Amino acid sequence: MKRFLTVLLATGCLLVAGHGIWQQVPAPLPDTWSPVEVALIKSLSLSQLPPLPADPGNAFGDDEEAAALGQQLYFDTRLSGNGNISCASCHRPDLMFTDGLPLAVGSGSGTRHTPSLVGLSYSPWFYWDGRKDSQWSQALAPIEAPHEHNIDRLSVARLVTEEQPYKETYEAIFGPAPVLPKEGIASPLGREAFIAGWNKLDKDQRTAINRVFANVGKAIAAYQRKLQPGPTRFDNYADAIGEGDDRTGNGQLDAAELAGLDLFLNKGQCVNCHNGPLFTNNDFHNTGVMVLAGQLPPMGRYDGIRIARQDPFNCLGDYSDAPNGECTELEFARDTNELVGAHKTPTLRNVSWTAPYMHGGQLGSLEDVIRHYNEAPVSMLSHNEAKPLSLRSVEQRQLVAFLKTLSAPLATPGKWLTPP
Amino acid sequence: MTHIRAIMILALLVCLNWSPGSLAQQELTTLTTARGYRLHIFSELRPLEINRIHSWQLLLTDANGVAVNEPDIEISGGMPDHDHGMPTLPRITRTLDNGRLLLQGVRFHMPGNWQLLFEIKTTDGNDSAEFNFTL
Repeated sequence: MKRFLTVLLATGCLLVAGHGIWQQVPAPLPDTWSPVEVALIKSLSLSQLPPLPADPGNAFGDDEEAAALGQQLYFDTRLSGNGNISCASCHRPDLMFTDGLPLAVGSGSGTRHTPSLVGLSYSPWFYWDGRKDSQWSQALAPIEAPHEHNIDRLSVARLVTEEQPYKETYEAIFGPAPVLPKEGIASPLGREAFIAGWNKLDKDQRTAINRVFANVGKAIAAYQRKLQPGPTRFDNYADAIGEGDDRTGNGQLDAAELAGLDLFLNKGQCVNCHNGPLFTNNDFHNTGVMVLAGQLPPMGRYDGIRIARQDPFNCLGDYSDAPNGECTELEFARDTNELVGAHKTPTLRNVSWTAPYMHGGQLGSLEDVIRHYNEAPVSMLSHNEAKPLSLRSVEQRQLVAFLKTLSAPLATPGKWLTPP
Repeated sequence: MTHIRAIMILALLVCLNWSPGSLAQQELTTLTTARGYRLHIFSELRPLEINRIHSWQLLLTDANGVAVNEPDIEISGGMPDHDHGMPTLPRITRTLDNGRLLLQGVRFHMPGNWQLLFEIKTTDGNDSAEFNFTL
């Protein structure tokens, strides 16, 4: 009996030790990538990023003067109710245009994590739930949101058409400014006082204010289109590797990073959604991210597309410059039940510099993110599209090592990264 | 000389029954429907790519190769491996001068196996075709 117990104990110890070793020992990899893998790696390189397409809804999107005006507006704290908040308060240039916080903090506490603006101008959808279909239209929403800039539309219109340094610049770009009500606050959104003021205005006054407000968004978007990622060590590797080459390629990535890249493409299935040169498909997926404390499970893109369709500043609206037939993303957007709880795939460019992660900043580190996808928990609403990955401990570390190769200084000239 | 070249190109386009919707559409595949008809699919993008919204053109022909007049076609589908559909809701928006149906709003957002279903209604009855492909 004693001998049996000894053997049992020894076997148990061996199994535990074996499992521990199995978790930590890197798996051997083939010497070369397959042709399909090489093509996939190259498809992720920044060198494959096409020229930034025009925004059909923003005729000033590529206007240098509008971008310069947008830069001034972006950093101007006068675009806030308390005079302390600008776009740059949350989208900080020194943090890759994020804020390092789980949830945004402007005039009050927000309910969503601040996403990076880098490369965002390539996306057809904005906000975690895609409630905006253009960058210029997105730029407008935080201005009136009570927990963000918390300022009314009329005050912003007066600022940009009547005060310095904007007055002449605005008219030079957008044409003669309308005559606006000299006093009062007014906005159809935001605080009750804003709405009460808006209800006193006639249709022509509202239209005139909306037109100026839309132009503010178009100028800010023209500036944000300048914010583009720079080439990373991964891009250097991807551009050099060829079919039949040894995986080590030009030596830019070490063994752990190369193993992580393999996992990214294969076992980890990350490339399913984080694809293309910006490592995002700019679409919406439910990946079972935990609900934030004190919040109901969010409906995500299911609500977002419905909000976008009703937005007066959308691609089909009166303030859009898009000709007929140029709003295909909005006109053919999916709105089905499977979008319940779905949130936008973020870029992975500069991901190691933009913690925390997810739409509510629920996960503090890349290790936490990989652990989340490895487990693929059940979603509280609808279903989690992701499946458990069975990644070993060493593989999780390798994936993190690869993700850290995706950060680099921006390609954007320095003059755009500070207040003008 | 430039004017002559432009006129020649214009004449060529007219001869080819050109219209904006038919610009640069290349044959993608031909499917056989449940009833034995043929569904010809032309795409603005060939080969297909992920993350680019674009249009297709559809032409349904019967067993004798004769074009079926204005069939009603609906498209659905997605990625069975991931339990989700397409990122867009493509639909037929009009019939082109060349008799093809213009299908707008086609976009694929992930590499992998895709399965599209074409539900077809003609004066002869209901029909369907399935398109399986990998991106």
